[in-house]
Amino acid sequence: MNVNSLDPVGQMSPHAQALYRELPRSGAPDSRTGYAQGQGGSVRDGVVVCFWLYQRDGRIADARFEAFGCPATLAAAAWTAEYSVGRTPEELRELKGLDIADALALPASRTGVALVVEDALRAALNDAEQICH
Amino acid sequence: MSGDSLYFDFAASTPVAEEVLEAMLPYLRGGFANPSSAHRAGRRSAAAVERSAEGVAGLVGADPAEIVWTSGATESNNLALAGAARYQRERHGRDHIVTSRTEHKSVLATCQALEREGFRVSYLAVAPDGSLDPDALAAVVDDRTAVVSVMHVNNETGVVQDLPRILEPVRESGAVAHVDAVQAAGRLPVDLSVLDADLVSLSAHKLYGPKGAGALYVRRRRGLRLRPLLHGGGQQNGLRPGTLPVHQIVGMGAAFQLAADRREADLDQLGLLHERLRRGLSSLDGVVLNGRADGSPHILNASFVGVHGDALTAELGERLCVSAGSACSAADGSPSHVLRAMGRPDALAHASLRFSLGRSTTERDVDAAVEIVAAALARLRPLSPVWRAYRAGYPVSALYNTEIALPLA
Repeated sequence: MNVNSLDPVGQMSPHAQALYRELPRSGAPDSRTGYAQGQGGSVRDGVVVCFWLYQRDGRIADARFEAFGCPATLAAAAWTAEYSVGRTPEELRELKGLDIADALALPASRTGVALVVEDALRAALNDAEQICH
Repeated sequence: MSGDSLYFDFAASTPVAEEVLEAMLPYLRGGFANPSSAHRAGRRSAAAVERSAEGVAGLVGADPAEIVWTSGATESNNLALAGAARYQRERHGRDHIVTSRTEHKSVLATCQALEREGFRVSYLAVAPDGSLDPDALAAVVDDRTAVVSVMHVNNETGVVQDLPRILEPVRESGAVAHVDAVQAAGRLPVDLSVLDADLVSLSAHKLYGPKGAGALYVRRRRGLRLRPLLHGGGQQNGLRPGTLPVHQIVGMGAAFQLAADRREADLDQLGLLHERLRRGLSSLDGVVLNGRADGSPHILNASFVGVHGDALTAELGERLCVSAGSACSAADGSPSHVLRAMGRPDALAHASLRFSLGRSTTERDVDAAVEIVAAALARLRPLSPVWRAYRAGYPVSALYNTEIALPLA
């Protein structure tokens, strides 16, 4: 029995743990006006992530997330929301789930949640495109 | 228990009662003679074992001579199932076993091992509230059934099976009736002078006794024989050889004697605390109960809507010791087989907690536990899209893609 595997927070990197403790940018925006929204995952899969992105002058001015999932999921979603602010949609489209997993030093068993975070971000970016056009 | 951590996992294990420890010490410090030895010291040890058998038998309405000592309930379950099944097949050609999907792993794993030996096993489904339908069991028991195994109180949900009705057709069919009474003994009345079970598994450490001590009640009746698991020096009529660990047995005897003295008072206290816990949890909203209102009061199993089990467990952290149905902590990643058998979708089963109460649990503890859970939910739910949907009016069953009714606390 690997005692470490019984502690989902403890097995994350210090950076990921800090994100999990703080959970910056969590919760849907008070007013949804002007926000693009995207979702990934499913309850059946045990992970659901939503992003809201507010774009101004070609860059993301505000990003918020909601998540249903393990601590790694929440940390990854928080990281991605932070990462998004100040960047262009084009830059964000290059962000891959594996990049997120690497940035947080997620254990291999948790890479899947990073892929769902990527899906959710992509869905929000696609929605942003619709809004802009 | 340690100052900062609340213990709500008595169904997993209990502390050794002071009276039990006092009873055991003389047999650790001295009293070490082998109870099988013919000399005086040995006979003293043997007498201690006999008195202990009286203590255990007394709690369950049995004859002391019907108590077989084992290393614990897992061994008792193995001995009961494999021992009875193999004898029945050898002697009568019976090769069918009947059990339920919610039995303890030691029962299910033994059944699976017996399947590999060529036995057929019927794993009966249960209702969403965890109860086994006596008619469903009667329908599959026939003259090829060797053993029927049904637990009295479920260790995960506290569900109490209607054993008198369930065991009715078993005697007639000629099959052997086995009952895992590990969680029942010392809590609910277990009276083997009335209940028609042939084999009953008991555990010491679930009832304020030491770990590594258990018993199998084997009814004295014609035709009931078991093939032993262990082979050796003939102790316990060859049914379970090995030098009897006197100090362990004395501990179990003392624990069961103590439980008999306190059973009704304990049960009343547990009932009050269970109700307090249930009310506290129900005030948190979105709490699904897994079990029945008439289950054993020392266990309460609940699933928490809108949060992932791992995140929930992480939030409870150091402060609350409960059994969690979470995936990533299990070796194989799958959630509770009991909750699955009750139709709970995996995502909900993963987000379940089993609270189990004990003699030392107080009202303050219960209130504090509810506070800790409330704090965990207060941190996780505001950022959960699933919780948002629930608050917007989506029924739990729709959110979790299931058709079964999910009773809220």
